[in-house]
Amino acid sequence: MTDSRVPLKNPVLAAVLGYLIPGLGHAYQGRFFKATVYAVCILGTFFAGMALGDWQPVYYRMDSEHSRFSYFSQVMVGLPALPAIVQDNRFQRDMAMGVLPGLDNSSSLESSFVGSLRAGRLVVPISGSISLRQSADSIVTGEFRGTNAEMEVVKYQLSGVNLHPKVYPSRDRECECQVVDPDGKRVGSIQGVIPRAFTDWCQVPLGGPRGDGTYDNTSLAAVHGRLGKRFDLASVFTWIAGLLNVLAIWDAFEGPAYGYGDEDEASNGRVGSEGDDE
Amino acid sequence: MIEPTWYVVPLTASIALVYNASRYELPAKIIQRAIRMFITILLGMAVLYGVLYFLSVRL
Repeated sequence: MTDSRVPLKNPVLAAVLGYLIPGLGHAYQGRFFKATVYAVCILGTFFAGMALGDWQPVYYRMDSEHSRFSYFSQVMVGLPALPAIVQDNRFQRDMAMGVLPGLDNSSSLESSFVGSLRAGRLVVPISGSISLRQSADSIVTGEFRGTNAEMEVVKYQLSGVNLHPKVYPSRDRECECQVVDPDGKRVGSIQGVIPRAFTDWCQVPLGGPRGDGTYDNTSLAAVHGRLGKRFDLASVFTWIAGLLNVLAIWDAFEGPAYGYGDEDEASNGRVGSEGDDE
Repeated sequence: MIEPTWYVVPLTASIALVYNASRYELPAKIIQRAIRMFITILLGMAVLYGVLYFLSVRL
């Protein structure tokens, strides 16, 4: 029986709010100390895990190659982990399409670029920026401006572009453009990477099925190779955060499990003694 | 780079605070019990670490 001094208000609403954002249910009930404890501890643990794992330990993936059941623990944190469901859908859609020529859903692209110029046997490292425009009939033109390995300023006219999937679990998006002379004749290509937007790589599944029925697990292997046991530790942090929020949700719904906290004094130690078992 | 073992300290503090906040309502009681639980867990893990270290000395 919940202590009558605990203001549960509407317990179902409090539980739902507590699920969406840890501590919000208690704030709604006016239990601000607990709201602060839950928000700081649970969100702190969750985001510490995210940062420790390079913002990639939370993702949803269910296929015959790899099933991430631990996501069901992470998703108990609520809103901070829910984007993984959306990211899974976006990722699967992009992976099914594969690498397509042209710009995706936009008529222009301005971005920094790091890679190399390839012309015959010549391979020259370059870095700078690319600027691409796509006409109504899907023809892409543009230019690269930057420097080569000798720090000389270079400028290339570009025609056509192949961009790797927009949504993918990597900060770098592979990109290839043809380099043309003023007459439009192909003289080489530039290959490299442009930055991928945070919303296009965070909480994206680390691999999944391609359009041809094979599986892409390179990003999963890359993350484990780069972070090692830190990635596992980061995952554990996010799991624990989700499990802790289950306790917080139940507290918002039902009140504290052992009582108000003054039972030891009020009942001469009888009630509070059940909490001595930790 | 911080040795990953030290991450257990803030993690234990979080677990102790959230667990005890879900058991009691009074802030003073929550903090008092959380400190006790935090020390108990860390001591328990330190003892376990010592036992495992001792057992692996000659491996």
